[in-house]
Amino acid sequence: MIYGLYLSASGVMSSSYKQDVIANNLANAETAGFKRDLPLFQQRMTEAEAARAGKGRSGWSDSILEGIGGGLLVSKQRVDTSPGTLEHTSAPLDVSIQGDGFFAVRAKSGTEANAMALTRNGQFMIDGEGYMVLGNDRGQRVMDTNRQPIRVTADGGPLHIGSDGAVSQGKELIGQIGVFNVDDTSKLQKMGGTLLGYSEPSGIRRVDSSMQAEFLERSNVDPTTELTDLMKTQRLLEANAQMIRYQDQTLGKLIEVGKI
Amino acid sequence: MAITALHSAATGLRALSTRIDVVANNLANAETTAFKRARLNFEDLMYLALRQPGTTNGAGDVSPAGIFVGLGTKISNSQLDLEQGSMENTGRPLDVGIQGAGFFKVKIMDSIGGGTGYTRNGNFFVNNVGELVLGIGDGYKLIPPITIPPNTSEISISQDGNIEVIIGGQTTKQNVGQLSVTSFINPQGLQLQGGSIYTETGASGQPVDNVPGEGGTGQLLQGFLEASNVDPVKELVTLIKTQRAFELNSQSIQTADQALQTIGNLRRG
Repeated sequence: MIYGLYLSASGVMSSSYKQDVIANNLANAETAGFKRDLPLFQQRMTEAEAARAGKGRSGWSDSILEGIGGGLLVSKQRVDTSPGTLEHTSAPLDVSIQGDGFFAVRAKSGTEANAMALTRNGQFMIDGEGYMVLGNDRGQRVMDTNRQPIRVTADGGPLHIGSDGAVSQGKELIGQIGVFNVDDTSKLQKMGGTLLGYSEPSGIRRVDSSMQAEFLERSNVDPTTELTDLMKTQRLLEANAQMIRYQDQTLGKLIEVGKI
Repeated sequence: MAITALHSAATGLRALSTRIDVVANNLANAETTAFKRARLNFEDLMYLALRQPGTTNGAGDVSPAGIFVGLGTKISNSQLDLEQGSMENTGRPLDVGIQGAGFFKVKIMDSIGGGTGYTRNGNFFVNNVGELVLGIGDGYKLIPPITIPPNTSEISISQDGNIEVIIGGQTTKQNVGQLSVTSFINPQGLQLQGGSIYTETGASGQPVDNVPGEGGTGQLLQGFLEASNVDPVKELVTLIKTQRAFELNSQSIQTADQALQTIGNLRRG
């Protein structure tokens, strides 16, 4: 009986976690280059199995319990890397990647090994020193195909970005924006500021990709999916809470029976 | 728990309502000479690690990914869109438009931006002592100063900023000064002071004075004023999108509230 209470409680908690993730996705519905998080669940191991594996509580001897699943657990994080729609912004330094890959940025003082971050957000700006930077509040430098920063000259005229990422000022070629990809996109980790970290810097490799200037990739959050998920989650949470209430009542009855 | 969802949705509401403010200001200035529209950019906030990746379980397996919950969104910046506004022919000799990048440099109050301001609003006037001043604010004087002699009957300003006048009765033109334009490596980093005035910041880089038309700066057009670059259609689409996104976030709040209520009512069942 108590066991069932825990199962239902894990249901309530998982639904609540899912709501947190959906709320974050919806909050970032207007964040350029944002990739939505997928709230995934997995079945929890039954106590009997856990005991057999030599961990967890080992006191279970009831064979009926061995057949009962152990409720829900939140599964490891996944980022949905599917592309967002492109929006025409007519800003010359807005760039979007067509197809796979990410822009790479690096902090001013960072070395490649410790501070390389990836992003699909192509809102680029020029900082006071002339470096091309990402337009988030950190303003890290955008890397070219050789993982070096790109720098423009003060009075060289307007910038133009070609479909191969070549940045030119007037007739002079200044650099080529690099596009990089990783071996396993499931290992990408959100860092805030539209940045994605990758645990193995050596696994980041350059790819050839075409770009489109004056276009921005919008967030890939789909309001319909998120809202349906939100409603479903809400109902699931209520159902599990209802189950807790039933089991509490049943327990109450049991206690009543004991009273004379 | 659902409290996180409440806060995440609140960050969304706050950021999006700021965007409504920015769009409203853009629309309010749709008819302001040389006004540059702003775009509000967003980025995702921090992520809360419910479980760190790379933890090892009893069997020696290492988890390849952790569990992170995002904490919402925030505003990264309001980005100035310095796209050229269209040139409106006013026919007035002291209206000067800049076709291209660059700003006029003017003397403003010492307490603001070190006393030097920059503007693209070339709606000039002559003040009581003959100095060329801006037709905005308190009549800020140009740097370097230019004085128009009394009894001037005709003023011509060339594309490269040379000002020549004909003084009443004379037939020859007389050069009285030269307008220069100032450019910045990152004009988007300028600070907005209102009244079409921008001031230098650490992000804008050092001002570079140029003869109009040289060094990538624009040429001058006498008799023209630069119109605001606000595109009403674009602004209205942004407004609609923002309103919808705002409503979506209010849905998150409602759901989180209901979840908390359900949990709060467990004991009363």
